[in-house]
Amino acid sequence: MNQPIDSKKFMSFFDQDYRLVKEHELRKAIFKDGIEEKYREVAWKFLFQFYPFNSTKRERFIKRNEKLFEYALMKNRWSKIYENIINSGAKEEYYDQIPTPSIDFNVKIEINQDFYKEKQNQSDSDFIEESQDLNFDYLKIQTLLNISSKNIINSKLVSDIRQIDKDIERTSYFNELSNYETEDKIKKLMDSLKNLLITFSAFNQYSSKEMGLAGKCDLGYTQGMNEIASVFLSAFKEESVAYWCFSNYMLNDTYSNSSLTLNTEKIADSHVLKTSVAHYFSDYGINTKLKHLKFLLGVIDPELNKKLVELKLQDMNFCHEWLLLSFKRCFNSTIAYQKCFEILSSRFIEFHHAALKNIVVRNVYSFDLFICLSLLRQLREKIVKNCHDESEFYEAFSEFNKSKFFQENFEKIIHDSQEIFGKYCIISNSVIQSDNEKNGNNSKTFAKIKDLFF
Amino acid sequence: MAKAYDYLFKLLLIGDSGVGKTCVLFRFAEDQYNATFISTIGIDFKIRTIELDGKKIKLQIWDTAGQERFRTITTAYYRGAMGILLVYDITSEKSFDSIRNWIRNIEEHASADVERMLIGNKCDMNDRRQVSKERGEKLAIEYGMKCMETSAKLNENIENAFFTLARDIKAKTEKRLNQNRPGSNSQNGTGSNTKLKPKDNGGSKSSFFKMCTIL
Repeated sequence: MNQPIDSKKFMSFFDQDYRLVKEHELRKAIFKDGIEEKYREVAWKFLFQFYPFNSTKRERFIKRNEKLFEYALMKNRWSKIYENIINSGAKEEYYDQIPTPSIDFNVKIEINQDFYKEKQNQSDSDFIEESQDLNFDYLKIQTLLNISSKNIINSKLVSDIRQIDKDIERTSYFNELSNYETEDKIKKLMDSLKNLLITFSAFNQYSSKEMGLAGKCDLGYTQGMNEIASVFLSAFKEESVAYWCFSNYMLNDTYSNSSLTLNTEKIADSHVLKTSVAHYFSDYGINTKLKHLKFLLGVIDPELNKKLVELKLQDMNFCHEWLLLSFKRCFNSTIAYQKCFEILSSRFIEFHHAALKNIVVRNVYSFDLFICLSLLRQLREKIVKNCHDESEFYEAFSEFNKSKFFQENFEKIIHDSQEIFGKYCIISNSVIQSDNEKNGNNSKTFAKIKDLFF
Repeated sequence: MAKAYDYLFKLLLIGDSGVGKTCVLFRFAEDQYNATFISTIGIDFKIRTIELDGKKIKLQIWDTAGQERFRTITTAYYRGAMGILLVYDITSEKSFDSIRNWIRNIEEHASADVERMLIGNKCDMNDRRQVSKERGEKLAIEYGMKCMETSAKLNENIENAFFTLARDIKAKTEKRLNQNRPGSNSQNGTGSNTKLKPKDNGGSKSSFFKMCTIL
C-alpha cells in the first residue's frame, strides 16, 4: 500500500470548478491505499453518493440541505404515526386498522447549520462545502408531499421498532465505545442509530400488494443492518448524513449511480449488476450470494470444494455472517473496520471486471466473495487434512474466526483476494476462448489484468 | 486418530430475539455470563463434551438468530438436530406466546422424534415476571416435553437443562442401537469409537434414529 489519500491527493480528484471529476481515480486510490482519517468523512460523502460526483459547490450546498430537511421530516412522520398507534391503546392485532394521521404542514423543522461554522476553520476542505444564504421554504411543502405518499404499515412499523430496540444495545460498536466514551455520548449515538434504522425500515417496507404490483421486495429491518449502519455512524458526525449514506449504500444499484462511462450496454445485460446490497438482507438474496461463492470455489479450488461436499457443507452457510455483515465482525473495532468497508465499497475491482468484460468474464462477482475465498485459503490445509466430519470443520472455522486473522493480516488477505480474482479472470476467460481459439491469448489477458491490478 | 467421544449430539436453541439464547449457551459452554452480548446473526455454535454414565458425549449446540429472516439457512440446522431447546423469557409474555409458532417450525422442519425441551429463561428477574411457572409447565405438558426455568446470569438450572436433554437423547439412541443390533448386548466398553451420526436425510419427516450408522 502507498500513502493513504491525503490533502494533496484528494484535491487532485477535483477540477477548477470543484467538481469531483476523477471518480475512477478516487475509487482506485481508496481501493489501493485507503483514505487518511481526516478525509474519510468527506470522501465517503462522495463514495456513498450523499454528494453527486459531478456536483459543484453550490449544488452540494443545496443537496445537503434538501437531504437534511427530508430526513428530519421522515423522522417526524414515523414518530407521529408511532405515537398515534401507542396512544390509541388498541390491541396489537388491530394496529393496521388505526388510520394514519394526516400530514402537518406547519411542522417546525430546524436544520442545524453549525456544520458550516465549524467548517470555516478548516480552510483546506472549504472547497467541498460552503454555506450560502438561501431560503428553503419551498423545500418543506414539496418534501412533505413526497413523504406523505409513502404508505407506512402500522404493524410492521411497531414490530420493526421492537426488534431495533432489542438490537441497539447489542450492536458491537457500542460495546467497543463503552471502553472509552462517556455514557452520555453513547446514549446519544444509540438514539441516532435507532432513529436511523427506524427511518430506513419505515420507508423501505412494502405491503404484499405493493410487492406484487411493483415488484418491490420488502425490507423493513433485518438484524445485521444495525452493524452496517453503525459503521456509517462511526464515520459521520451528523446522523442525517449517516442515514443517507447508509440508505444509498443499501439501495443503490451498485453500478448505475456511477458516472463512469464504462461499456454500459454490456453491464446492463447482467442481472447481477442490478442488485443492491439490501437484496442480500433477504433470504433469497443471501442464498444467491452463497451460491455464487460456491460456484467460484469450484472454479478456483476444486479440491477444497470437493472436500466441503464430502463434509456436507456445500451450502457454504458458514460464510453467511461474513457476507451479510461484509466481514464487520472479523474486526474487533468498528473504527479499524472502516478501511475494509471502504475497500469493499470502492467497487474498484468490479468496475474493472466490467471493463474487462470484452476480454473476459461472463458474470460479475463482487469483491467480498474473493475475500471469502482468500480467508478459506488460510484454513484450507486444516480442512483438507484434519477435518473428518462437519463438527471438526466447524471447530476449526470457529477458532479461525475468533483469531481475528483478517484484521491481523489485512493487507495480505486483500492482496491474496486480488490474486484470486485475477486467477478467476484467467480461468473464466480461457473457458470462453477455448471454444474459439485454442491457444495464445492467455498470456495477453494476464498481462492486461496485471497492468490493472499490480 | 481415535475419537475423543462416544456420541455426538447436535442440539439447537430457538426462541424470540432477546430471550437469552446466546447467554444460556455461553453459560453452559464457557461457564461465563456477559450482559453485553452482540446479537447473533444467522447461526453460531458452541461445543462442550460432557460425561453421562461413563460415556463421553460431545454436544454441538447451534445458536440461532431470533428474527427469522433467513429461514433457508436456519431450517437447514433443524434437520440435523437431535434435541431442540425452545427458549422464552419469563418477563416477556410475547416471547412465551411465540413458543407455539416455534413448535410449528419444529414440526415442519425437524425430524419427527426430535427431543424438545421448554426453557423459561431470566428466572432471576422474578419481580418483572409475566409468565407464571405453571403456565410454562402446562404448555410443556400439552406438547409432551419437559420444561425448566433457568437463569444464565445466576447459573441456575443451565447444566441441568442440557444434561437432562442429553440424557433423554442418549436413552433414545441406545434403545435404537440395541434394537438394531439383536444379540449384541455388549457395547464395546467406554473407550470405543462408537459414534452416532445421522446421515443426510432427503425427507425431513423421517426419524434420524432410523438412519443412524455406527462408524
